[in-house]
Amino acid sequence: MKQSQKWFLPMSAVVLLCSCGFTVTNERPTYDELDPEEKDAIATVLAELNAFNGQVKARTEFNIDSVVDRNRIHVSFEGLIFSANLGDNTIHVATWENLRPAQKLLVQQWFAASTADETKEKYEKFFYQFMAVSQGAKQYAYEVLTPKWVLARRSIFNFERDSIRAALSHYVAEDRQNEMWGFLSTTCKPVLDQYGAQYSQNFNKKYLQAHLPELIHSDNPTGYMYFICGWIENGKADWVNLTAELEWIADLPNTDT
Amino acid sequence: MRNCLYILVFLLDAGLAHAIDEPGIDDSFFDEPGMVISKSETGSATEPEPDLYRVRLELGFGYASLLADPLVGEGFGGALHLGVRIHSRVEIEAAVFAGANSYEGLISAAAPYFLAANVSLGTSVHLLPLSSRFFLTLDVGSGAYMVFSPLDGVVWNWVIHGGLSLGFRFTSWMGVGVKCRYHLFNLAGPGFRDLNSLTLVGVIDRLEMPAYLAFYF
Repeated sequence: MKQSQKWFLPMSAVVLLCSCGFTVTNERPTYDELDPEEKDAIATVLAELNAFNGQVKARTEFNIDSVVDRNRIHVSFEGLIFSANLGDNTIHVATWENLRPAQKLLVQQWFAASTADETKEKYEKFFYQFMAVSQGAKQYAYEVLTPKWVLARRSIFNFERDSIRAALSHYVAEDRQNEMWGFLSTTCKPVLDQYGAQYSQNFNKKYLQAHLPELIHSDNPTGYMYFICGWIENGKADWVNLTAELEWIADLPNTDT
Repeated sequence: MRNCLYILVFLLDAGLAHAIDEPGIDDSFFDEPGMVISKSETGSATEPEPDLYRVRLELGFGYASLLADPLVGEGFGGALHLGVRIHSRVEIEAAVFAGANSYEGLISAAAPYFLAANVSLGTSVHLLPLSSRFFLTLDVGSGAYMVFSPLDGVVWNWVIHGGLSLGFRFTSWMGVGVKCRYHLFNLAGPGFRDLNSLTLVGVIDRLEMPAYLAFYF
């Protein structure tokens, strides 16, 4: 065999492997590829975000148009109880149908619901409506301050706290305070009662920062759910009108947060 | 034919040699100029023995790429390699490489870099004549790969790699070179989720090309 022919096979293998397209990021399915339940979830989230965007436009010079788009609502992932806005112009919301059976049972335990249907109804209202608006409030902060500034200068504790408080103020502005605040009180009470002994002493910025991976673990994010309900309870006591809430965010670079 | 006979006699033991060491035959005949037999294993009778080091330590820095990933840009990393020669052409090598690749697009807001490092053990085989100052080795190895995932924290998985190293030894104790190594990682392990789709990532490939400074002992 010629010298050049000896190298042909291994080099070909290298070239083939290099062109195989192994990637550390995966593509998201398009809207048309989603399941009907996922599309319904997007419709609910979009309705809430549209309403919040209207409030933002009416009160400030900013908007959250970048995420009020069905292609920017990411619902296709499975096996995660997750609601987030990572500064990537995307609202990530886990749908009920994409949760594992063990996760659905966990949510039922959180809400002290009697049946799976009752749990599903509460889950969808909590995450597709209220938490989606809080993610919209984060998007407002990203639009005003930039994701880089927010992620570098704000703690997760304060950022979540303020976005949840802004969401509470939004429902007051929408004349839906009784409906949503009442729902949140009913839904969060069993969470706070069941897990208060474990987490109430640790409901602070330092504990959250130090234990974030275990608090948001996909198998059991109960700790983070407690924190969410804690922010909701505190937000009802500390709320201000939505205009003040939105203007305060724009003033953040001038304060130590 | 006569020369072969003389060499055969030369190799006999003292007793037998004594039997032919009779007056008139001078043993020094066999040591006359031009009849030098080298006992070197690796070189020809006229070439000096190659200076084979026992231990190689390399410090490297260079290019790292995740190749086909559209959302991860090119990056750089640092390397440390320790080789121990176990045979004239074969070394056992321990390697460490840590690198950072920048995320691109919207997900870069969530995390600026994809951070990863590997610790592996492998074999290097010299392909060029050992007397040459140039090195060309075929390297293969396997080990552990560490990925820092913003969602899952530090995740360890299994890696295999292969490639070539090209070097030049300009003194007996120092040299330079460049490596080209292709890695396949996340072959086994707990898995981690990507930032774009929040789904579990499959097998990942990575090409590293560090230039290195080598020390030989």
